Amino acid sequence: MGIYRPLKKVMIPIVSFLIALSITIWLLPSKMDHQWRQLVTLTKEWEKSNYQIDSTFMFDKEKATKESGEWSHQQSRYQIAAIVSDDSSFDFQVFFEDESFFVLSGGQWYQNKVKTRFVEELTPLDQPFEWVRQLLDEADKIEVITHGEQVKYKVGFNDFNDYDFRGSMLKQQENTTLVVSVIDNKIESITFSVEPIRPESVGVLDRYPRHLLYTMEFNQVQDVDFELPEEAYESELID
Amino acid sequence: MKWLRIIHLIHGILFSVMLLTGLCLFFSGTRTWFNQIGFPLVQFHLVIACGYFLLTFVSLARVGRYLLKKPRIKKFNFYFNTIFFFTWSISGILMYFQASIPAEMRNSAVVVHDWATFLFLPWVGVHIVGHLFKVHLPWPSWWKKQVPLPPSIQENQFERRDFLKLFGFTFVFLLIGGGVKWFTPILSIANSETKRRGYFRIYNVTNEIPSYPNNDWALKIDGLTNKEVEVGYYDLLRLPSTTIVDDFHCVTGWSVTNVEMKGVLLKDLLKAYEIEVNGEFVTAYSGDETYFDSFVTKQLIDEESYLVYEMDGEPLKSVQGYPCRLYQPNMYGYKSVKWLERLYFSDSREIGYWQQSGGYDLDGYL
Repeated sequence: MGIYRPLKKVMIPIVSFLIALSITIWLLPSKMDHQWRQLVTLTKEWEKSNYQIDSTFMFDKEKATKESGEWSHQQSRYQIAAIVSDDSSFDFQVFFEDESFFVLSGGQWYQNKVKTRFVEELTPLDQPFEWVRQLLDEADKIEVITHGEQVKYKVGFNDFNDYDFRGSMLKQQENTTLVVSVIDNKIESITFSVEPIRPESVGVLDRYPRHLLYTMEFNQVQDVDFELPEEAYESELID
Repeated sequence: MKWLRIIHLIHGILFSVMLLTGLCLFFSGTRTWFNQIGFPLVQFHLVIACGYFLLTFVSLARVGRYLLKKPRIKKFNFYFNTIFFFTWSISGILMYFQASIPAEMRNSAVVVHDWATFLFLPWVGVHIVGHLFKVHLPWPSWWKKQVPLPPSIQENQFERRDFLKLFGFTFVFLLIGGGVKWFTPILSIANSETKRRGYFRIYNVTNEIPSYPNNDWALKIDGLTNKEVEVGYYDLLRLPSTTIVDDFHCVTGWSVTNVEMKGVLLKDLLKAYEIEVNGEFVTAYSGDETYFDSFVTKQLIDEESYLVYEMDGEPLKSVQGYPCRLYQPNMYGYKSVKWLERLYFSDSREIGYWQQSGGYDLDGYL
């Protein structure tokens, strides 16, 4: 049996390997880690600008809501159409200002704080970029697809930690993606396509989607500035 | 070498006291016992640590000059102690000034401070036994005497060339490992910011934890209010609840990030029971009949404090303050009175338990 002498001849490569392995595991990023960080940084950059936003929410391939409005970090407003049937919709306006929101429906004003069920149903109109970051926290994979000038960040999800999206509790996922489309480092659109696995906790008779599709299109605008009438601030609370 | 003996003796005494007080602070039972007898253990530990730090810092160069001429065992002891001295000092300073550094860094400081102590214990044991009982371990002669090294050790001494080899190999392995990791389709940093990190260290001021069999608990709200109310456990559960995911910070330096807590906002409870508060201050009393802390009323109402009854989806455990504890998200954990039994509104401010016996800040903001 051979005796390796001096012992340091063997020990130096072993110790080097262990040091490099530890650094690789704990400190070096994978390509996906790098792309994930890149997208998080971009969302923080994007939320410094103001946008015209047009969005659509489809529930099982049926249009559920259509929203159009202007967004800035401080205040935003939307015209919302909740589709009732093929030819009719329930229309109202929503305004977000700091921690409060206001609703104008049928000439009547309502208000409340943003942390309410009502605003949850309108996610992510109040803070779209914060919403993207929340989703990114639950991401399982990410890839970047480039078509000429257009760059698409495609984020995949296998499961969520009990995430409620517009009234549907999302847990295990079949094929759920968030696609963020970017041109010249400026956001163009967000598409959240959800194919959830029905959780066992959802009752047999309860409605649960097979597919949700939410799209938002962004166009940068100079300014978002509006003043609400006095009656909005004095209006009654809405849940 | 009389001076060295004196330094060694003072060092030994300070270190022993510091070690014992440190261990008593680490273990929940002893920490609570010192709280019970009203001994300011944290402050005592800090004073001794300052003495130890000063003594070591002042004598380090002189002791070093002396020991580094001695056999290898003495050199080893010098380097070993110096490394631990700086580890304790730096982590201790970070713990003391923890309010000004990020949570992750102060958590690491606490862990390093604790682990350095436990890793040092075997050396302390051997050193003390050796000194006190004149026990000599069978070290090889080249380790404890000034004699030439045997060939098997001599050939393994680290030289400049070996350091270059070590760095060279590490660099090559890093290039390979970094490349492999880059192209491996894994996303490891998502969740990292929202992950639960850290663990709770249970600090109480009494070793007897209040128990409430059959949820026989009630929160009394009285003092300068329009009415006196008692809210039972099931009454509390019936009120509209709010869930918060927040980082829990202890004034001693550790934090637990992303803790999910469910409870009732105090302002919601007051509203539900139509309680009008007229007192500028409020004192929160614990069911342990010893602990209490006080607040400006608006700190609990306008800044949204919680009457927490669930943590991470489970009812609170007894040691966490079951069935209900106060939680003010902007303040350190010592303001979160456990086993909350009474909120007393008044027009003068009580000085809380830790303000009286520990010198803690009255407001306790993070």
